[in-house]
Amino acid sequence: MTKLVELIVSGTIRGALYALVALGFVVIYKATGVINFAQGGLLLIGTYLTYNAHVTWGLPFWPAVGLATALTALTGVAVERTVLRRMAGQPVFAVIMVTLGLLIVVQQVVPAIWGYDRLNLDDPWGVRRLSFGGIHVDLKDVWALAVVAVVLAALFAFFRYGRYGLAMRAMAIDQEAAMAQGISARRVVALSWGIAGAVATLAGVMLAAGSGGVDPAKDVIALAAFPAIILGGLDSPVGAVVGGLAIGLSQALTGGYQPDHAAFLGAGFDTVMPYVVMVLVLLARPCGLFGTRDVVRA
Amino acid sequence: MDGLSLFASRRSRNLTLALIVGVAAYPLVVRSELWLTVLLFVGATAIGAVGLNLLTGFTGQVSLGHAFFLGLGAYTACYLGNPTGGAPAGRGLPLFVWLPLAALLPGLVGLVVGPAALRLKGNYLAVVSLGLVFLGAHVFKQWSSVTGGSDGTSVAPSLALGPVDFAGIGGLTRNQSLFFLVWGMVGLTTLGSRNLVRTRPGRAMQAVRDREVAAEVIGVSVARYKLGAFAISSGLAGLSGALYAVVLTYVEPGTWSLALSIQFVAMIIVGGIGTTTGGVLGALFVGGLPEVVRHYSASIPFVARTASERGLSLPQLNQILFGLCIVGFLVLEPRGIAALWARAAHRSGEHRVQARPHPL
Amino acid sequence: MSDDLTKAPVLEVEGLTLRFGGITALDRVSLDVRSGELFAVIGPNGAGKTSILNCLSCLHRPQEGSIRIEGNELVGRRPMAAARAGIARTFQNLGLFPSLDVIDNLMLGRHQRTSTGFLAGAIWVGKARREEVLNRRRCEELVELLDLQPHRRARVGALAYGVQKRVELGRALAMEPRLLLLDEPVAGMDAEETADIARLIVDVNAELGLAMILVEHDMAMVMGVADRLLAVDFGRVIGSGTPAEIQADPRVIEAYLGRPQGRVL
Repeated sequence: MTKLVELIVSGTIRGALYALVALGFVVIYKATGVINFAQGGLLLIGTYLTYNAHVTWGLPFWPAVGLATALTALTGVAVERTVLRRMAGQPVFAVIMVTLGLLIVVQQVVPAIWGYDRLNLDDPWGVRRLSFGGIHVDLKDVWALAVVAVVLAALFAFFRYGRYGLAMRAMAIDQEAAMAQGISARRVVALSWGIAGAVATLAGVMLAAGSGGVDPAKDVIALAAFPAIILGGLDSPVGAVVGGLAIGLSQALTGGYQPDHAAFLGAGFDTVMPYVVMVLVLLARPCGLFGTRDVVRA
Repeated sequence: MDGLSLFASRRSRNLTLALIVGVAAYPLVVRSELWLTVLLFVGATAIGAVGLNLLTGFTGQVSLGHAFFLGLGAYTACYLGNPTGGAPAGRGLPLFVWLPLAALLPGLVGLVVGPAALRLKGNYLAVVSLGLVFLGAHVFKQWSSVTGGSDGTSVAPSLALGPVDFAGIGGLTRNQSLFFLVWGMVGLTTLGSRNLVRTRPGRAMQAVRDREVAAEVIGVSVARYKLGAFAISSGLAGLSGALYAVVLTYVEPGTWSLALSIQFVAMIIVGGIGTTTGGVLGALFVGGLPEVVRHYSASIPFVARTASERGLSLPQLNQILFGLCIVGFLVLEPRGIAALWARAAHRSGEHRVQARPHPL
Repeated sequence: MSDDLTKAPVLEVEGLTLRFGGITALDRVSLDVRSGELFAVIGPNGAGKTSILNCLSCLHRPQEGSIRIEGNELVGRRPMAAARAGIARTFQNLGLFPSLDVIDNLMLGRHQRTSTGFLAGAIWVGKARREEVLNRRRCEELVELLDLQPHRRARVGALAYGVQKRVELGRALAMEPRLLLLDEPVAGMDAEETADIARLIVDVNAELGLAMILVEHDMAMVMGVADRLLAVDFGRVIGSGTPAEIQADPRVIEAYLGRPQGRVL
């Protein structure tokens, strides 16, 4: 029983991080209709900038995170302005590939600057653990959940009440009509890249905190988060969170039980579990659990 | 009646003939093992790139799952062609059995997976096909009786076709001989693909790409041509993977990674989406670039020449250039190198092939 | 004029009702088109004209009613089935394949009249070549008929709108249909182009004896070429008959006088 609870806790925490990454995908998708494969790259940039600001330049932790978040958001905006804006009106496939190309570049530039070694983020939580009735939880994971909750609340408020949030929703429904209403498509798209950069930084920091460490392979979480958005539906923030949690939980539970109860599936099956879940869901519902039907028409 | 000949113009025909002569002479003239190996990889991957171009360029379906089908083809070749005594043991079947099956089997798997995948479009298809690579890698890792598991397997199938042994024709080395097999297959693939796209099935594929609804209204079965393109693309990926493995002589599950899939997409983008020659040109570019970079590395700034020196390593630089090429071509010349080729080939005034502003 | 009542109907539509959510786009529409007849559907914007064509080419699935072409029921089937049953059409906003050239677009009209498969196509020698040569000849005839010679190898997406309209008509004719649906074939054309197309439509109708349904805004043209008309408004049939009958029909006049389009009658 303890094992089950522990698995659920660790799955939830992992799922929350997936959700955070997935939210970055959703924000850009809502504004542009394209999955940003470079999201993992933004995550790397944000995490290493945090490391630089905190460890190298000696800023206190939270101001360092704030600075890195702002810089990564600006990076996102800059990438949109310089590269993706030129791709407006091009087929989805072409835009996806541009973001993939950008990811490849970032994946190499980051280790060229900071090296391949795992670096310690020197965050305030370290490896401290809390204990609730026999269940151990890393302190930084509790904070991770809190960060996810705050970001989520902020994004919801933004989409519901913010001027640009509403604009973004209008754009997602009908780009031409939205533009006819005087909504600046360019600003909305640039803003979405900014938000994606900020969200990616927070996800990266929470991933690298404690025993995680900063290393250039941290962007693989973005690959694992793909199934979360597919599961939740590309254009739904709620879906991203539910999808992220579902993937995190299924992964943790598979990791906990499959080696004993379904060994024939092979070692390391939990790492591909998100994709198994994704395929099964798509066979039943081609637009995910919360997606709008139109999304499939891409 | 124009358009019935294989080539768009006389000049294009002459250029192609010159190219064929050049390719055939290459292994006899170029004695450098390095450049032979590079061109062997280029040839093996060109087949897969031509296949992917049929799916993505001509039918408009994105796939990041190409590496999975390459792996399938490679392991089919290993299982059927490797000697019976090896570990893992093969079946010791001859070339004319394992090579066609290395294309057929992945093609069949494509037919089975296709209907589920092709219900999805654009973004969804991209992510799901990516899932195919991860799931495939897991299966490859587990199925150690065929793949050798994480340790990998050597690739040593018989390369004899009747009296000709592509492991050593006459007094030629293995790489020289293999060159004829690989590039012979490139020739066949390119020819078949060119024929396909200029006849009924290829036209239907392009109709599906351009406008699905209109295609259906004129009686084109969208599902049939999507699925057909997917199966052919998977089959050519299998053939490509088998030859790629033979050139490598050793493969492990990690060979068939997402990075490999991305390379193939990069090939068709750089070479020219929706053109037959694009796949080959792209494979040449993607395969040749690292060697060119290595050759000139001494004169490129920021490159570390020794392990202790700070700066970019060569592989890093290659990857960066590679990423920049994808971005650069898509932003600046979405029609790829093939467009430059077409321009060169048609300067003679025979403007039969029309310039196409954007391939998709 | 071929309003010979003894001719068998090519198309019989009965009680067609089409709803989108709560909106009724078509309300019990019935019509029949006889072999060789040039049938026109008129009505104000949003009256349901295009919806009728979309039902006929199986792009919309009506909730009620039946569509029979030469006795075969089409309701509930895929667009391909309509094509196979012999229905060809053009679209109001063009349904061409923009990145292919004129010849390829016309050859695509030959798709169901040919059978080269993937393998035969890749091999080329033999069947594929024979079919290409044979069908190319037919397409070249259409190029002549439609005056498309200067554009043969031009990418369709780059051609002028009027030329594209002709290409689309050519593609529909290449299908050798039993019934041709034309959705506003002269929309956006000047008077001279309109006259050309009108002449062409009449010629094709006369020479090939091809049954046609023409949806058009240009009343003068419709009244000039159609054998019979159907007037629709708000998804309902408000009148049908010869051009003369329609022009005298009080319901039709009212429908048109009640709104700006009234001036065209």
